[in-house]
Amino acid sequence: MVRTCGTERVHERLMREVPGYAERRAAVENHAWRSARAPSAARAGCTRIPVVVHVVSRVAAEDIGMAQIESQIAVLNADFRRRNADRTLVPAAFMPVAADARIEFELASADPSGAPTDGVTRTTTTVNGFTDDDAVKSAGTGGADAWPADRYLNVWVCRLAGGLLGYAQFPGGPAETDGVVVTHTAFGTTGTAAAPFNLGRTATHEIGHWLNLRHIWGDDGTGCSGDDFVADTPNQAGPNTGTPTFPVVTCGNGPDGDMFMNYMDYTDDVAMFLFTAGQVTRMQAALDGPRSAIGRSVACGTKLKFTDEPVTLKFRDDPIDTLKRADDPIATIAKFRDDPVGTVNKFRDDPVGTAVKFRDDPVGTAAKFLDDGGTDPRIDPIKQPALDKPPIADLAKAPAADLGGIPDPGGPVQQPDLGRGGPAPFVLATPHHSMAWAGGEAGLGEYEVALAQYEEVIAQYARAEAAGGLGEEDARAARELYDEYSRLGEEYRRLAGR
Amino acid sequence: MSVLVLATEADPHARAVADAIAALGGRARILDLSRFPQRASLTIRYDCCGGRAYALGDGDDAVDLSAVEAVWWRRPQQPEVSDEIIDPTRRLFAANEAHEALAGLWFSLDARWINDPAKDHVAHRKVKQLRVAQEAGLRIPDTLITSDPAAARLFIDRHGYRDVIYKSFSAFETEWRETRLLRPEELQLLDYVRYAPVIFQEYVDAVHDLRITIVGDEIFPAAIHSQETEYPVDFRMDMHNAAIEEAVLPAGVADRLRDLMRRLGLVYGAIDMRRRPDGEHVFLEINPAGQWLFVEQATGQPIAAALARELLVGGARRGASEPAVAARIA
Repeated sequence: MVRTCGTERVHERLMREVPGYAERRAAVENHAWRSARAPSAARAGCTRIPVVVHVVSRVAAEDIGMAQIESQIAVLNADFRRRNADRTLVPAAFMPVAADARIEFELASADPSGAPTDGVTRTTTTVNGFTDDDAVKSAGTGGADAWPADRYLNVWVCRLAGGLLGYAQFPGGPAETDGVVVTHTAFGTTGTAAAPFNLGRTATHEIGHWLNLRHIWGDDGTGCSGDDFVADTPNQAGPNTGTPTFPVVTCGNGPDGDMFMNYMDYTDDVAMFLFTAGQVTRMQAALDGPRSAIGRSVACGTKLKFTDEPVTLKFRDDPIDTLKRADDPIATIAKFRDDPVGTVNKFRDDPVGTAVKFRDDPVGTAAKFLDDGGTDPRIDPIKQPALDKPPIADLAKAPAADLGGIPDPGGPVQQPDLGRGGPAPFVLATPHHSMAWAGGEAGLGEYEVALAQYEEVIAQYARAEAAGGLGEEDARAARELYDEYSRLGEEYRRLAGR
Repeated sequence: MSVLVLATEADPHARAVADAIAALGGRARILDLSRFPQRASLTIRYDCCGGRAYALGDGDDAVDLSAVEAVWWRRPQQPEVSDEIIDPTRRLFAANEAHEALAGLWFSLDARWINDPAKDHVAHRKVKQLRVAQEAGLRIPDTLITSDPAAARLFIDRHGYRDVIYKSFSAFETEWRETRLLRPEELQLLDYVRYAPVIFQEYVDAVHDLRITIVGDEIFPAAIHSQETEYPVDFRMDMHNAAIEEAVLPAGVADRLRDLMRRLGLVYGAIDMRRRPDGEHVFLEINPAGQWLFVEQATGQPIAAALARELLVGGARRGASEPAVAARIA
């Protein structure tokens, strides 16, 4: 069994068939190149990406269960955060470039219309084995339609024919086919996942492509001229397969040889366990550029999550005590036809209409309002009552302070970030000062506990070092630990406003 | 059908008032306007000869708005456009049509209002509130609202940045900001003021915050001991650690607040003030649809009952006997 990935073939097909794809790919590459030369932390911290898994099955076995899906999400969250247990197996020579990609994944909790979802769609098909022709991505060809690619990472799981493990679409392709496809026997770590591709690494590899990573050998067959556009991966001839023994020297890349344990090679799941800093820069550049709309920034908490849950203020008196509701006469409430479950009051996506113009007015004219590009002045200007907002909608919350309760502070607030979304108005450009909302304190407390634990372990290492009993492996582990500790401390200080 | 409450059905304030109305023998219906137009239809009919009908809802559950005696403009929701409409222009159009029909309807009802929607709309504007508070003789903080970084710097220099707070007009679920004292790191960011105006104010030292809830002629002052909480600058942030108790307002302040209500045309208002160490009461803002349950639960002040009475009999004073109320409703 050899790993095969259809991404490059798909890429060539899109180059041939999709107008504008080649130009967009060039733009994506230019952006990646600039980012590599002048790294900007446009997305400081981590990015959490909502995932929708489209399970497309012909027989029951292909209709994989939730446990298998969740096992895959767990693998992604380990591999893209460098929390995979086998990260310690990276050869010493490559350890310095091994990096945390700062990307996290979660099954989508809301579907494109805003209704609650478990992040999984299930479709039955008559197709016995899909290929890399994108048929699985469309209901019309026996598959499932993509969810909006600017908001979700689409992952299709089906039976792929001909030993194909998976394929991905690089950034810049059509939205309706954007995402990755993985054969169900190489998806997750339980259920139908089968060795040697049963550790979830196919999805890690394909999502690497989706974030603009190339195969590590440069996709030039077995030559030495191909390039993956990443400086800190050694030049290597062709793909490695199976479980190679270090070092594998090709293209004069001794003494350390190929980085065959990189997720973007073709080795078995058990044999691949790192992304490099250069690859992380490329992936972050993709998030910063062509995929800037997707995901949200979150704290890179180590082993702990900063509360992202909506917070409601608690009062000393629980309103439930004073206002008994269970036996409420239904008649109090004007009831209508059944609501679709969980419809959210989504509203203000509307574009703003005519704007007041000032700065662009020709000098010397009086301030013009309703600069309306040739509207007949005898006609009343367009009304935009929808933009006349009433008080902030009260989305069923516990009684709280005004403005309909204290909304979710949304975790750590980033400094104004010119990379995505442009500059922020002053108030939004500044971080929260109060950590007093429910959960905020708990969040800080968690940080404090974690920091204390780190300090303790670091102190142990320091004592061992002073006693001369710290091996090279331990010293490396200590350095890693210290780096994580520093990052955590930085986050804590930012959150605490210190 | 006597009282209509415009709010979400889960709104505890709406529930509390509906209960209080029921206790007085009246009947309240809670109506969530976000159901319209998808799950509740609106019908307005006029005929040649004086006939009129207003109905919102479907079938047996339709609310006959002609029979509504009073409306509590508590937290009216926005009409919700169907997701079936995708084109932004069409969505905006549908939203506008729904909004226009509803707005006209509200202005056409023969009902008592808390508060009248038009007056509520105006009273929500912080810029207007401060002016009216000034006119009513209330003490307000030195204030600058500007999108000019230079003007902001001048104001901050004059007061010293340590004594200047800034706050926003709006709040979004995803981007919410409490009232905050300026810090040196924020001074670096002042140029961003040009992207959107900011409210800067002199910081008002406080012995405690005051939340004064006014219903008709009744006034319920409460002291919020914000200075003993984690975040003394904005009592909302750590409310569950703030002791709240009934307070006494100097007569002059109470009179000026009633004058403010009169000038704004409000029946209900929740007013935020601060009591300075020197005893001066400083007006911060008024919330025409502000929360009050937290005050009622802490102090026992009967605000829900006052609202219910105001809705049922419009300006009936304490001491109106209950049978009289019941007779009025029958």
